Amino acid sequence: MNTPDDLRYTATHEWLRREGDAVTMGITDYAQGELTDVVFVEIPEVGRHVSAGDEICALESVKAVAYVYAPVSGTISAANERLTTEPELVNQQPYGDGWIVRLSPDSPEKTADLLDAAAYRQKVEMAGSSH
Amino acid sequence: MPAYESPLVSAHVELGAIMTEFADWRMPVEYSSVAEETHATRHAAGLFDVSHMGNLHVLGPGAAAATRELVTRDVTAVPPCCSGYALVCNEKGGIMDDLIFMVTSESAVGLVVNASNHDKDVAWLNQHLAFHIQVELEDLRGRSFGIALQGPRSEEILRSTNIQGCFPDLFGTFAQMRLARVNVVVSRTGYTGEDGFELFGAAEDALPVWQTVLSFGRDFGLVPCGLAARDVLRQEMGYPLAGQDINEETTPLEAGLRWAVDWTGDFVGKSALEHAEPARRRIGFVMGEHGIARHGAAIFRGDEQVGRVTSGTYSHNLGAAIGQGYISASAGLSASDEVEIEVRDRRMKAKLAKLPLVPKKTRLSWARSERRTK
Repeated sequence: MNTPDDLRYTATHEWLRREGDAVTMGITDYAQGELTDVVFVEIPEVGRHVSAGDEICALESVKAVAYVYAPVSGTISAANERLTTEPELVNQQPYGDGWIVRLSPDSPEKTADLLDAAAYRQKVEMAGSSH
Repeated sequence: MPAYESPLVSAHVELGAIMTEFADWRMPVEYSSVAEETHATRHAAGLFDVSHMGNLHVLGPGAAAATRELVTRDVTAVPPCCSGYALVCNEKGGIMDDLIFMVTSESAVGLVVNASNHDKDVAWLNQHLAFHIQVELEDLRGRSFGIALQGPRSEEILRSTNIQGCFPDLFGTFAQMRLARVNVVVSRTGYTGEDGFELFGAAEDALPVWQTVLSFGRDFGLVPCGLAARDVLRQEMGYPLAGQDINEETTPLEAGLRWAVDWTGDFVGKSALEHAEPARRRIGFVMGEHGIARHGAAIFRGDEQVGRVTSGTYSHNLGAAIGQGYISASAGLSASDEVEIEVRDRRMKAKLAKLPLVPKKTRLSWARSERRTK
């Protein structure tokens, strides 16, 4: 299970990377492993405003459907269109080319309240990691 | 923690498998990716741990005759060292489980049953076999292994291991052989629709067999495969999963499994089935949109609900989401008709399809071979 130290995490297995006032997000390596092969990614509408906890889009894997939730309130500023034809990037490079959306948070400082890598790792291990 | 674990768990963990709990067993769900594993099985070969499958033996004088009363196939007419697919029905003709029977002699019949129905099957069999004083049921749970080698290169792989004994050439035949210096029952059967073998033996012999087949097989493109790939492969073939696609509320006739019923002789459920009028039938479908219709999804034709999905997944081999379900006979629908299926609160286009969705490539079976020579 790969959990880069420079990212923030959520209990619902999203990761966030601060890039100035914007954040890029996707699902964690642990989450992609649990899902097995991601085969469809619903591309969210750019410009839509979401509140913390809202569903951003759905991911379908061979095994299950999973939803990506907004960790903070903000506006969707970009979506990774490549995932329409290459959904496997979510499995292959969850923290790289498999990113899902970019958000412009209403209050960028709120991302600091999310889990750091150590806290996320601990949460996964406590939940009984099957790896 | 699951109550049982495969004797191969250490090998799976070493190979980096993602492990899961299935029917109270700790089993591998995926090694590399479902795409790679399903592709390898269709084009080279895949190796599956199936040690969770129930390994039961009906033993004693009259074992085959006693088994016949509980399964839909006439196992008393099956030659020694031949196997086949049968259903266990309740008195109403509802399907309690599906299984592979392996006839060694009229006094020894092996039954490979679903892990999820294991306890129910054992209780049902014991209850009925109680009338046959000389027959007893042996349950090898936790004491045996099952390994499936599936795919077009399976025979080459198995032969390359210096396996000793008389090789089973026809589908649905099996033989006692020696592999990796241990005794193995080699059965030409499987759950993928490809040519291949299922190997059974004692739990303590599982590791050498797994490691030998895997190391000899690598040069032929063999990859270890998890339960996720196994589920996709069986869905491509339209094989039902007991408890999900067939259950006590469905009959063999509705499920399109009439071929697995021999009407000669008597068995539990027979009289109900003789009078049954199937009101629905099992059929495959291929999605026309980017969504997977899963168990329970409603199938519509126009505004009318005509059925329900029982299994759905994504097939990398077909490049589309696929599945199976039941549609009502009165809807008058057939393969290639367009329907809509509810996925994530929205109706998506799908096309009904005849099963299997991928051509079956198993060897000629002993039953067909007998018919040819008659």
